[in-house]
Amino acid sequence: MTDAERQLVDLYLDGCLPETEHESLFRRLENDAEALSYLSARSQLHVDLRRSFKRRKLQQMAVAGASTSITQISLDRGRKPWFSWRPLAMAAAVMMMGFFWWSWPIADDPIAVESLQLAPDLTQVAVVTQLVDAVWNDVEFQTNDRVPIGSFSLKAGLARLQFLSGATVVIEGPAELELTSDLGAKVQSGLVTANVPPVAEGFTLTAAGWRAVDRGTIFGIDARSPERTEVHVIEGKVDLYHGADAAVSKTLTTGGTARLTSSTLVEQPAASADFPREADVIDRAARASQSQFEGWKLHSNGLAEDPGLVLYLDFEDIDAERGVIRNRASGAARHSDATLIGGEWTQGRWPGKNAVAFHRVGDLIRTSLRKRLDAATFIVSLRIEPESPLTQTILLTPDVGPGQIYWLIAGRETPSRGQGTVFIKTGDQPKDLRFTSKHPFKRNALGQWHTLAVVHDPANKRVRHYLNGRLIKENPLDDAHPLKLRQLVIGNWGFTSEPRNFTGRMDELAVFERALSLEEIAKF
Amino acid sequence: MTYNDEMNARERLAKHWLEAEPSVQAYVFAAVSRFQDAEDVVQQVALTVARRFDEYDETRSFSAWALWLAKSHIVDHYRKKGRERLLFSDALMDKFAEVLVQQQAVRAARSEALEHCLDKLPEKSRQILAMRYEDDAPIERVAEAIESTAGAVRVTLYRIRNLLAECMNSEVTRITQ
Repeated sequence: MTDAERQLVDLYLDGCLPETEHESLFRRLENDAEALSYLSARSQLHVDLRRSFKRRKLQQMAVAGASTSITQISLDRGRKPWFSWRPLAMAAAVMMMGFFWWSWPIADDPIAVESLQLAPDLTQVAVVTQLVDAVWNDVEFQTNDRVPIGSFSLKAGLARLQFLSGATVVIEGPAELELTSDLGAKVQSGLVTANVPPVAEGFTLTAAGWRAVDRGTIFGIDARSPERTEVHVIEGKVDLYHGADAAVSKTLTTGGTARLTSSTLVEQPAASADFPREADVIDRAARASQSQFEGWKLHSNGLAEDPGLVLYLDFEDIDAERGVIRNRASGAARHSDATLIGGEWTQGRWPGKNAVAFHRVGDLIRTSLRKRLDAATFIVSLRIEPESPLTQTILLTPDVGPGQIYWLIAGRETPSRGQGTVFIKTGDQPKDLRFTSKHPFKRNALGQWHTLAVVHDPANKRVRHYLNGRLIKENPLDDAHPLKLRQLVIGNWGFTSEPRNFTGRMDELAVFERALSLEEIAKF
Repeated sequence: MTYNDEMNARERLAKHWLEAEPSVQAYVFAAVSRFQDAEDVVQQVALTVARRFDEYDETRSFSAWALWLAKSHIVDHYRKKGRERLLFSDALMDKFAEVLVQQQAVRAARSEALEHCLDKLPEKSRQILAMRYEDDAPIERVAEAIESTAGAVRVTLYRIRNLLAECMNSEVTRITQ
């Protein structure tokens, strides 16, 4: 193959080869083994490079928190806006029809771009249900995270995992486990208790070359010391198999204990090993959650007195029957209580905390503020459901003219398409000002609670985006128009063919008439 | 099927798939030549593989079987996209699958070598690759970002990939010897 012919293959794989050239290339590939081998190697290189860079990016984000890479900044330079204004007349007409006027497309290609972590149905085998003081090595999991097949290391604390088969394990750190399927795991080190309901009978923990197969039990593996691995049956029955043997070597029943080496099994007198118990972990996680809720209440009560607060919906002071959510800001304007339209009351970040669940197009909260703000900070705590539309409206003002805002979450996974949390402000028509965090939600961030904030800071000519108390992006701001918040519409943007309704839960929303600092935002 | 059998089957499926998945990705990607489309198709292949795993004959190559299933998904993909004919002919798809299966033996070593070779690249080359692969930026956007032309970026990428391929070959030779 000549160099030019090899370049043709690269052009094709980069999507740059004109279609008119395809036929001759394909004919060549069909008849030339060397050319086909080159295509094969090159195609593998492409997917390996993509996988490697996506993985590096994830690692980088895990290490540095939410950060913006040099490449994203450079890509941002000179890029044409993704959005374009529709004529004002059309906006007015749309409003008259009862729609909101924020009707421009969010991106040129709204197709969901999922990560290259393919086949989640195959590889995600467990869910993290409770954590107590958990500290992880490398990969970190939070409550409700899905855990894929593979190894992880819990440095300290307790974690309870529920396998999709129904079995649960309680792990006490330090421990290393490798999940092998929804019916089993290898215990490399640590203390692990398995609780296996009848539906998951056959659940297997492997340690020291032995397989402990459940026959309807609670049992534990003690692999804290590399020299000593023990299996304890706390309740029920466990079959022990050596290596790949098909025959049971030993069956242990309630109270039975065996010490395992790579080649031997020695029964031990019943010992009271201090295995972590499921009820204990659930109870401790609940108490930790209650304590966080109490801490939040203290912060919330103090916050309501902040003179810079113009809207504070903590979703606790409500009239559920009438759908009224009180504006708890001490300096609240009269009649600025919010009204819930549609939606339903549900649990927030902690048991006992109220939240509103938004399910359908048309579920929304509306409030009348009648404020003009120069500097402003918007903060919201929300949880997006995994099956939600790609574009999620947080809030918007339903009027026209300069100083209107639209705050939304656009897209998933890929930081290169103007995706992430987006704060849009109208300037002088027809120019809109768009501030994008370039930090889209990852698939595994869905179903988790997050606190998002955006700060409009004209004095310092900046718009800043925050996620969970961390600054994720700072955009330059060259527009002096104050924000005109006559009304705020929260969680929806009207009835259109393209769903942009918020689908998830919201349990706190605050608007300040000043630019909050990172320290203040981190307290939410 | 007993619980033990079922558990073993799931473990085998997961293990096979993790090994075969990169080849399936390369196969689908070359046939549809768009990462996003390829991802959709490979997701469907993964589900089909899982659903039909009990039909898999363990005496045969799993990758060959997965690629065979992938082929029908690629055909479906083109049909849905309204193409009048398959871009790759049936014969080319079969030959391509055979080549991928043959190259499977050094697949893991090549992936490992790639990580090593990427670390040896100059920073600027890595940045260009990051734009293309991490951000999925089309060539034109990479060119815009580095204030160059699309043609120059295409040639640069071609050269970087050649450097990587050479480095990976010598690294694989070193690892396998």
